[in-house]
Amino acid sequence: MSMPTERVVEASTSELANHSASTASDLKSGLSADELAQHAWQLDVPGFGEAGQQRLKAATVLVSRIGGLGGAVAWDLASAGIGRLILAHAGCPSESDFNRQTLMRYDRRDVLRVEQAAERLREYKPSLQFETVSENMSPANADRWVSQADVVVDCAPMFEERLAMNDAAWKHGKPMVECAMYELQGAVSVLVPGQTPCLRCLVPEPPPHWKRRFPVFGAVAAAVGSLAAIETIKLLGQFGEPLIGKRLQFDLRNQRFHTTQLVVDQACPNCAARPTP
Amino acid sequence: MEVKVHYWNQLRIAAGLADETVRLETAATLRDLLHKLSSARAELRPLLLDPQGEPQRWILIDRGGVMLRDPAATLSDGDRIELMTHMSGG
Repeated sequence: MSMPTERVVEASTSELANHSASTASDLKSGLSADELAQHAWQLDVPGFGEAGQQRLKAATVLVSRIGGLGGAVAWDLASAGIGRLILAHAGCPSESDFNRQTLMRYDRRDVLRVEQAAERLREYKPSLQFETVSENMSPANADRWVSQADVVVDCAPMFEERLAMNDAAWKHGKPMVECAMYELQGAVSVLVPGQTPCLRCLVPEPPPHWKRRFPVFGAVAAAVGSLAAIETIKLLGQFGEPLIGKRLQFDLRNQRFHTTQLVVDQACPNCAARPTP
Repeated sequence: MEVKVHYWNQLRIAAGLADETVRLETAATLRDLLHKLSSARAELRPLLLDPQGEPQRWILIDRGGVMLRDPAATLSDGDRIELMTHMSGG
């Protein structure tokens, strides 16, 4: 069996700006006095400023799911002033979720995760708009929710869900922030249709070795989720250097960080037809 | 020639170590390296190679900061190869 030829794809923040162009051009309102006050410290970040804050306010982000990883992502995006979050996760928390799913309450294990998350986030950021979806992503519903988002943040535990979101993201031209964890290790990538490999280039089918339950600390989930959130903030805010087409892999056991330039799979059904840059 | 291998995540657990130096014939390929690693440690084989002996398509192989897909790629003395699996969330 021969492997596909390889191709390195590089992209820049300015190229990605095309994906956020509608977000930027659709800005209808400025920032209120409350919003300016709440975000004063980050407004001072060079390259961000009020224009970046307005882009965050105008943006919709889909976070699937909102467990250890997604809970951290949602919290950090709410803190940053994202305008609207679509939170997707089926079911209620179970006892073993409480080492990492910090948006949940132990005494409310009979309440849907998305309801609990929305409630906690709304307490913290009353201006945040939500859509709660008590379903996990699948080929049956991914189109509907991905198409409404400016960026998709993939925090799902099962590769079937990840690939469903990936295919919908490629169909609708939506950037996807991939984040993952295992033991004391984490990984974050930014995948952009038309510019980078997609997840299916990297994982053509669900790996049979991957198990639903795996070893991890909540602090690892929080670290990975925060990195995914800042990648999302950079994408939407159009500043910094997002990990476009790259995978950051890190090991918190020894604080070793490594970045890999990802390569398109010429056999990928989403990406094979693309011309070589 | 010698190449340095670093194992990440599940591969590290299967290998039982994080780093090793592997001695290979001159002009050995990536496929040769993966077969040598799999021969040395049975637990690694299903993670690295498919039943046909080709690299599993869901492992990520990095040389010098760039993903390496071609199993026929020739390795060089001193190469550093990072081997990792894809992970998910929860």
